[in-house]
Amino acid sequence: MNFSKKIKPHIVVLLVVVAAVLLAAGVLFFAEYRYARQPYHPVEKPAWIKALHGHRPATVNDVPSVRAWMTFDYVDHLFALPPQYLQSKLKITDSRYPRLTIASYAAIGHLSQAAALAEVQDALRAYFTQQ
Amino acid sequence: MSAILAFLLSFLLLYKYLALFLVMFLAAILVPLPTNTLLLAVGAFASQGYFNFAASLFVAVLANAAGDCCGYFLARNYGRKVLRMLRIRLPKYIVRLEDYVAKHPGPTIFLTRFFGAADPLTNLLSGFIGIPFSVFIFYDLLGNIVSIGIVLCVGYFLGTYWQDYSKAFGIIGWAFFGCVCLCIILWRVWHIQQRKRS
Repeated sequence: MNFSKKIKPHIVVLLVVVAAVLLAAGVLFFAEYRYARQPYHPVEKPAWIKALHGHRPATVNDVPSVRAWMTFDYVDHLFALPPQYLQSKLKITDSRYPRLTIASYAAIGHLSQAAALAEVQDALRAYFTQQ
Repeated sequence: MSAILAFLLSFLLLYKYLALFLVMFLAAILVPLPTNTLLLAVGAFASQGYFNFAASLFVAVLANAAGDCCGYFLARNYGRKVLRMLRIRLPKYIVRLEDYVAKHPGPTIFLTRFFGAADPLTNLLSGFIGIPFSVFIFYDLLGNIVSIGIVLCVGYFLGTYWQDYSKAFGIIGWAFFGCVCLCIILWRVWHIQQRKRS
């Protein structure tokens, strides 16, 4: 059976592209998996992963980059905050927390978005000062 | 930042992959949404561990391909009927465009995946002409994987800084589009001159 006649060239290119994407994703996942497997004995990420990520952990210097469209869940994740820290600090009673945007928090509290954002940023600065 | 973009980013953070699928699908069927900026953001969220890179690529490509197929099948099954019903005669330049797409379906479908507005129009044209579905879906997937993958990777590399570069990225996109248009015009002029000489 002659396979070369049956398989069209564009199928071969598709298979090569899919294989390359899967291989790249696999390598990335493996590296991330190895890192994530050691939460209590954190290891330094390899240099190439750091370069690939292209970002440093969010610190107090990144507080001005917080925007009203961000959710509290995302802000907690970005700054590695304890899940209830912002809720208790800002006295948020809405049941949707942390799946609540800063803009929604402003609307609920009858605040302007800028005022709500300033409150969140102050709470973040206070957290880093405590640390 | 525009209100629509802020709304879409919140929607993305709240509903993650479902939101990504919906936005990409709607954008693929002619709804003008800022998908490049959103993909840049998704790449950055993936670098922060809030999204999964491979899952984001898979969902975005799948949604875009699904939207593209909708346009393709609508035009293929109903395009001519609708034109006949409305008694619309195709202008000459559309007929010429049809001929071009029919002659070079692969490169046309692949390249238009990189330009938001041209993408849905090519899907409609491909269905209208009756380009085989296997050829359409192959170049559509290939183009989507490459174009979406590039934007996600840029967002991944930029990480936290993606907001600073989103405008620049848009400018680079338009500059690239301008360069391609210029190349096509120059090639056409050169082709016409060659024909005149011969």
